Amino acid sequence: MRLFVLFILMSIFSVSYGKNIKLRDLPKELSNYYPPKSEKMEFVELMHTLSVSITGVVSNIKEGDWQNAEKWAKRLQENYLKIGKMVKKWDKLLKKEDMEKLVNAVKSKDKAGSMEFVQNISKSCVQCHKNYQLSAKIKFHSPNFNKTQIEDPVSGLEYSIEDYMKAMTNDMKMMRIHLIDGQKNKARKSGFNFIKRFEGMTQMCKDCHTTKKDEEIYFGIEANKRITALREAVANGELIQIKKQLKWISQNNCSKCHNVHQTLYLLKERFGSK
Amino acid sequence: MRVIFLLFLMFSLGCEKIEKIFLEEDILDRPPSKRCSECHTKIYSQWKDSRHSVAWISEDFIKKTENRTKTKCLSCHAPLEVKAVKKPELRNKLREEGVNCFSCHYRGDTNSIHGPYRVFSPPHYSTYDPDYISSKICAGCHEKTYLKWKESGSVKNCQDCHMPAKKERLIQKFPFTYFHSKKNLHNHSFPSLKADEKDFLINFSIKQNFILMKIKNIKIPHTIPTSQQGSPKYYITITGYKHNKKILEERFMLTPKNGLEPKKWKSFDLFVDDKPNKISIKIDRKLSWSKKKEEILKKDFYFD
Repeated sequence: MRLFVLFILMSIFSVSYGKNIKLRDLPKELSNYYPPKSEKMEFVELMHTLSVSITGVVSNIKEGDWQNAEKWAKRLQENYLKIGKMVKKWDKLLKKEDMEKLVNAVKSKDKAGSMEFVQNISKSCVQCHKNYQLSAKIKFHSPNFNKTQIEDPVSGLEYSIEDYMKAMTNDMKMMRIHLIDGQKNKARKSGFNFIKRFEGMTQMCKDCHTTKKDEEIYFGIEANKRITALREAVANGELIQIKKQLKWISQNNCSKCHNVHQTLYLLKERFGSK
Repeated sequence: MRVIFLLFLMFSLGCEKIEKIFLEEDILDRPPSKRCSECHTKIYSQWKDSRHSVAWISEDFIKKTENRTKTKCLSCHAPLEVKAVKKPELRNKLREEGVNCFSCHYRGDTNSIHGPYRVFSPPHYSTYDPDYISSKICAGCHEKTYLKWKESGSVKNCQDCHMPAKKERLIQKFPFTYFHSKKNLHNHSFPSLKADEKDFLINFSIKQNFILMKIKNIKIPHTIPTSQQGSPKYYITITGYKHNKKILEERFMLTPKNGLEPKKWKSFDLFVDDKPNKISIKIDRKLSWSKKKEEILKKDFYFD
């Protein structure tokens, strides 16, 4: 009996801890409506239009403004049907009949009927978002780092982003190791290489972060001060100062950027290339 | 004979009426730049060789903007109207011409061609615009370079260096070529120019195993390298020798973000196990759109 209870409990726990996120493959045609194939994010724009339209329908029904409700219902129908034209695979998932019925219910000022069809249509939106929104966000709404090449200021070679990061973090670690081991000259070399590579990162960041305000976030006045202080500390082999400056840089540069970009990058690496 | 006839017309009708008789209205409808070449042949051929003419079709631009989808970059690569210290709007037609004749010279509000001269130009209306002899006209797109230039307090403006002038006729087509006296014809190929040794002061000091190298940009009134968005680079290679034996090799890469600002010293720290008696410095550059490095200077320094 005890064994049976244990088995049941284990099953429950294994189920509750076994939630895996499944990233669904997106229909290929969808990429026609996002950069780089399209100059605009046309599919997202369509989603926004639909969202506004459905709110327009519901709010006008609630206020009893049937004329405007009809206008928004027709707009909703027109744009809802565009989904199937843009992505054929999704055409069969659309509730076209309910859409037609909604327009008619609004025309005949049938409040209960209208709200019922609005709900049915909304369900199709929710279902589709549940299946595909996360995949679309990862694939189309995050920068593509996998083709990024950065010129390494130390070796003069072109590195992938991963190799560049490895080289840079290795410099940082080696600087600390050499200092702790009492090898000041080697520590300096690693430290200066780290600084060169850290500053060299701006080659990549500035491609997207173009304004002065953007720059201030990823490499502003304070970051510059810290780098100057770090350079001095490295030159003099002052471990405490080095740690202090590195701590600031890791919190305000490394972590900030990683928190924004790294998770999406890792997901995209696994999935986004499809 | 034609000139005499024109002069006769000018006297009898006055300039205003002549302007209307000879007005070619399509010029004021932002036609392809080739249309301008019918009269301004020299300027057109210079522009054809410029980076401005390939601003929209440059491979590097297409790659960096992920097939021109980074929308905030686009307007400077195919601007509708370039105005002083104002980011332009993106135009809809003829984007492949990049920064073309009409981007810089046509203004919708005056329906005329703007430029640095007061001229009688019957085929199109013209407006004298002092912005064209000021760096401000470049600032809408080259803002970062402009701000550094402004800080430098230089008396030379952008055009002095990047649009060098030669006394020539603005127009090559007869009879209009004789409508104006020879004027300063500014080079529309916008040469990027190349710094050389006289533009820098270089200083080394050695204390035990610590070498401090300092470089000052003394002549160029903006950061080098400079760009709004591109990736031009300077490379500094330091080689140290002790009795002809190489004991040090160190390189530094400068980008517009950490480049040589006008009239400011920039320091570089180097460490050596042994004190060198000769240090060679070599500076190269790579323009944003080029894969080729070009030598800027090479110099040796000797120490006791």
